[in-house]
Amino acid sequence: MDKTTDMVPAAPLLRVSDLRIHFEMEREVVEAVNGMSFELLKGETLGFVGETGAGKTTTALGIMRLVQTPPGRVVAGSIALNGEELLEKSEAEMRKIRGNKISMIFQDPMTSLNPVLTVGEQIQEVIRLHNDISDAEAVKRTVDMLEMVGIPGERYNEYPHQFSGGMKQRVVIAIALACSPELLIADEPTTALDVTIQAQVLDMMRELKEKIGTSVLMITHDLGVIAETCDKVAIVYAGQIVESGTVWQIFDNPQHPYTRGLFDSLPSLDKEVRRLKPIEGLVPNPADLPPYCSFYERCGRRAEACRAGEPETVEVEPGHRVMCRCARGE
Amino acid sequence: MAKITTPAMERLRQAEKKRGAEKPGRSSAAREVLHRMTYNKLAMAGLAIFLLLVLCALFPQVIAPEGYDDQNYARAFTAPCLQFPLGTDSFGRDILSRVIWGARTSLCIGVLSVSFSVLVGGLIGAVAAYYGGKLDNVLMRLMDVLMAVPGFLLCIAITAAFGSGFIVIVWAIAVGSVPSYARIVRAAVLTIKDSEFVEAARSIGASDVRITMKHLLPNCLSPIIVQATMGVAGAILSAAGLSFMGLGVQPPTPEWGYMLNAGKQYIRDAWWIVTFPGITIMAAIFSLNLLGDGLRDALDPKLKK
Amino acid sequence: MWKYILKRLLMMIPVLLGVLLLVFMLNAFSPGDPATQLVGENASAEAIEAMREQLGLNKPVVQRFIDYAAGVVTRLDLGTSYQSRCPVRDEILERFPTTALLAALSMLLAIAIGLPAGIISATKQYSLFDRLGTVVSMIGVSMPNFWQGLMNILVFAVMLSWLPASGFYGPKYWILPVLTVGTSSAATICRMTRSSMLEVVRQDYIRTARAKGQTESNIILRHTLKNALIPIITVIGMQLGGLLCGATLTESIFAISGLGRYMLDAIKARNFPAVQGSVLFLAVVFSVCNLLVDVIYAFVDPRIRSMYVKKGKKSAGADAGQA
Repeated sequence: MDKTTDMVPAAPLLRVSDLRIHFEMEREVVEAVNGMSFELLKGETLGFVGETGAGKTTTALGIMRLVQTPPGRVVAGSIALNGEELLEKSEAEMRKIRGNKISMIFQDPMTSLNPVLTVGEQIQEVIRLHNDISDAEAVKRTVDMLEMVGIPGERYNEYPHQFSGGMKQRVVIAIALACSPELLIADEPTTALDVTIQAQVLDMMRELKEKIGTSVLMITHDLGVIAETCDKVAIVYAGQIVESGTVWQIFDNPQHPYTRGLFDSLPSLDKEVRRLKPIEGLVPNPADLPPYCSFYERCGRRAEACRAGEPETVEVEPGHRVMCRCARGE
Repeated sequence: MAKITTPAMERLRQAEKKRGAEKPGRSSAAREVLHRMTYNKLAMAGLAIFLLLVLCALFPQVIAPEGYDDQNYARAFTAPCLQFPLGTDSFGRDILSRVIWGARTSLCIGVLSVSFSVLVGGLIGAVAAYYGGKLDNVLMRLMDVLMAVPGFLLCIAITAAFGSGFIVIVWAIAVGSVPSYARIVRAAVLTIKDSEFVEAARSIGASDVRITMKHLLPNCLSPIIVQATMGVAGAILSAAGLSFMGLGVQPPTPEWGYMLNAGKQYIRDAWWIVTFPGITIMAAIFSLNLLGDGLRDALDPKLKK
Repeated sequence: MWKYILKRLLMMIPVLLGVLLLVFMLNAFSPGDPATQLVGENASAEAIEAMREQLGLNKPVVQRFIDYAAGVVTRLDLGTSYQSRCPVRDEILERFPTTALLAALSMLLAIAIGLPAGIISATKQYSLFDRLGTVVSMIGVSMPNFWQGLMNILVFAVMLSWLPASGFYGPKYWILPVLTVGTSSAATICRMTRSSMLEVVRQDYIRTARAKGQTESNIILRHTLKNALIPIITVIGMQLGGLLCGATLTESIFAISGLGRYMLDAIKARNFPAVQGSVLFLAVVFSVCNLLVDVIYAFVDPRIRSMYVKKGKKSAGADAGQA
C-alpha cells in the first residue's frame, strides 16, 4: 500500500481545483459543490466519504461533464485530466473522453442497464464507440470483457432482467472498464448489493484495477469499503473536502471533528463501546449555507472564532490536510 | 380483561399512529396539490374556461340573451352581427343562446355518466380485488367483454337498441367506461390490500366495508380524479358525436352536436351554424383535458422533474 | 411465440362469445317490433305474424340466440339483412375494405406526423417547438373529429374549392377524410410519444449511455425510443381500433360508403341483423388489433417476451390493455 509514497512524485492524472457546481432552481440556488480541490495520481485509489447529499456524486458528474444543465451549472474551477482542461472541451471532444479515458460506475445496477438491449450489445456499444474495429473483433472483445468480470461468454445475448443484482453490477463494471480507462469513477458501486456480494464485487474491482492500471475515484459512505480499497481518502461535507490524507493518516489520526464523528458512529469489533455516538444535528441546507464553517452548527468543539469566516485548510502532516481551526494547534 | 398485545395489534397501533401523524400532512398535501395547480398556467386556463361553462349550465336564463327555442323565420340565417354575435340558424334561433343553453345538456350528460361509471366501476373493481378468487375472475371477464367493444361503438349499439334520448345517452356512455374505473380501483386495491395496515385492521376484526371505505378507497382517489376529469371530456365528446349522427338528444333540446348536425346541410351558405357550436365543444374538451393534465402533474409529484 | 399467439386467440373466444350475447340481448330486448315496422303500421295482424315467422321472431329468445350463435360459429353466418335480404356477412365484407383503407391511410399520416413531433418535443423540452407543439396537440386532441371534418369541408371544399367534399373514389377524395382522421390521431400519438420519451430520458440507463460517450442522436434512437415504445404502441393500437370503429362519423360526413355508414343506416332502419353483425365484426377487428399490439410488445420488450415464454398462460389476459 505504501508504494505510491516511495515513488518519484508524478504529475497527477486528475487535478480538480476550486470546483463549484450550483443548481439554479426557480426559487433558490443549491450550492452542491463549493470549492472542491483534490489530486489523483496514476494508479491511485482515492476514496470520497460523506453523507448523502454532500456533493460527492455531483462532483463525479462534474468531472464527466454530465451535470444536467439546466438547472446544474459549473460556476467556477478547473478539472484537468493529464494537464488538459476538461471544462474547456467541446461536447464532441468530451464524448471521446467519456467511457474511454474516464468512465463511471453508477450506484444502482438494477436501473443503470438498458432493459431492451442485451448485455453484450451494451458492452459492445462502448467498445465500438471508442475503437475502430470490425464486428467480429468487437464481439470477441465483448466476450473477453464478460469473462474478465466472471460472466460466461455464452450469456452475451441475454438481457439485464435475466441477471441478478451482483451480476448486473459486473456487467456495469465491464462496460466501464471495456476501454481500459485512465480514470474510473465508482459511485457507491456496492451500496445496492447484498453484503456477501459486496465483497466479491470489491475484490474483483481491485483485481481489475491492478490489471488495467486505472486510477479510481471511489465514492462511498462506507468507511469499511474505504479501508479495503483506497490509498487516500477525502472526507466530504456540504460540498467541501474537510479533511484528506492517506488512509492511515485519516484512520489513525482523524483531525476534523466531522471525521471523528464519523468514526465514533461506527461499531467497532476490537473496542468494547457501550453506545455509538451519532453526530448530532443535520446536514445544512445546501440552498442556504452559512458564510462560515458549514459544520459549525453540529460541531462539539466550536468556538466564537469559527464564525469569523471560512476556515483555512491546514496541512497537519505531509499530505494530511484539515479544514478546521482546531487542527492548527496540534 | 387483561391487556393483550398481539403483534398484529401492535402493528395496527403503529399504523394508526403513522396515519395520525400524517393527518395534518394529509390536508397540507391537498393544499400542496392546489398550490402546485395554481402554478400551472395551462391548468388554470382550463379551470377558468370550465368554470365559465359551469356558469352557463347553471344560469342560462340569466346569461343567454334569448331562450333556446325562440324561433323566428323572419330572421333565419342571419350572419354574425351585433345583435346576434354568432348568427342565427335555419329557424332564426340565436346561436349564442343555444350554445349557452347547450352547456347544461352537455355538462349534465358528462357529469352524470361519469358519476355512474365511477360508482359502478369503483364498486366492481373494489369487490373484485378485495374478495379475489372466482368472483374476481367472473367480474373481470365481464369487464373484458365490455372492453372488447370500443366505447363509441357500444354507445351506438345501445342507442340503436333503445332509441335516443337523454337518459339512454347517459347510460350508454357510462356503461362503456365502467371497465376502466373498475381496473384502476382493482389495481390500486390489489397493491395495498396486503399492506401492513390493512392486514392489521383485518386481524382485529374490522369489517370489510369499513376497511374498504377507510383504508382502500382514499388510496386510489388520485388516479380516479384524473381519469374522471378526462372522462367528462370524453363523455361530452361522445354525446356530441351521437347527437351529430342523430342518435343522441332529440330537438328542440339544445345540444352542441345536434346543432352541428342540423347546420351541416347549410354549410355552403351559413358557415356560422357549423362553426360556433364546434368551437364550444372544443373549448369544453380542451379545458377539461388541461385540467386533467394539471391535476395529474399536481397529484403525482414524481412526474414533475 | 406462435404458441402464445394461439393461446391468445383461444382466449378471445369466450370474450367474443360474451360480446355476441351482449349484442344479441341489446337488440332482443329493445323496444318495438321490427316486423311491424317492416310490414308497416297499418298492415293486418296476419301480415305482421307472417313477417315475424319469416324473420324467425316467433321463436323464444333463447332458441333465437342459440340459432344465431350456432350460425355465427359454424358458418360465419351473421344473418340476413331485413332490408336487402342479402347475407349481412357479404354486405359487411363488401364495405369493410373502404373503412380499412381510410383507417390505414389515416394511421400512416398520424404516425408520420405524431411520432417525429413527439420525439422532437421531448428532446427539446421547453423549447418553442415543444411549447407550441404541446398546445397544438392538446387542441388536436380536443377537437371533435366530426367538427374538424366539417371545417375541412368548409375551408377546402366550399371556400377554396380545391377538393371534393364527399365520396371516396380516388386519391383526391381521400385527402380530406384522411386529413381529418389522421391529424387528430397524430395529436394523440404526439402527446403519448412526448410523455413516454420524457419518462425514459430520466432513467439511469440513459445516463449510463451518456457516460459511455454515446452521441445524443443515438441516445434518442437506440436507447430512449425503444424503451418508450410500449405506451406509444398501445396508443397506436387503440387508435387503430378506434379508427376502424369510429369511422361512422367520418363516413357520414364525407358520404363514404364504408362499414360505419352501413351500420348507421342499419340503425336508422332498425335493421337488427345488420347492426348486430357490424358490431360483432368490429369487436373482432378490435380484439385482433389488441392482440397484434400485445404481440408487438413482446418483440419490443425482452422482459415481456421472456414472461410469455415461461408462463404465457397467466400474464396474457391480465396484462392486455393496461398501461
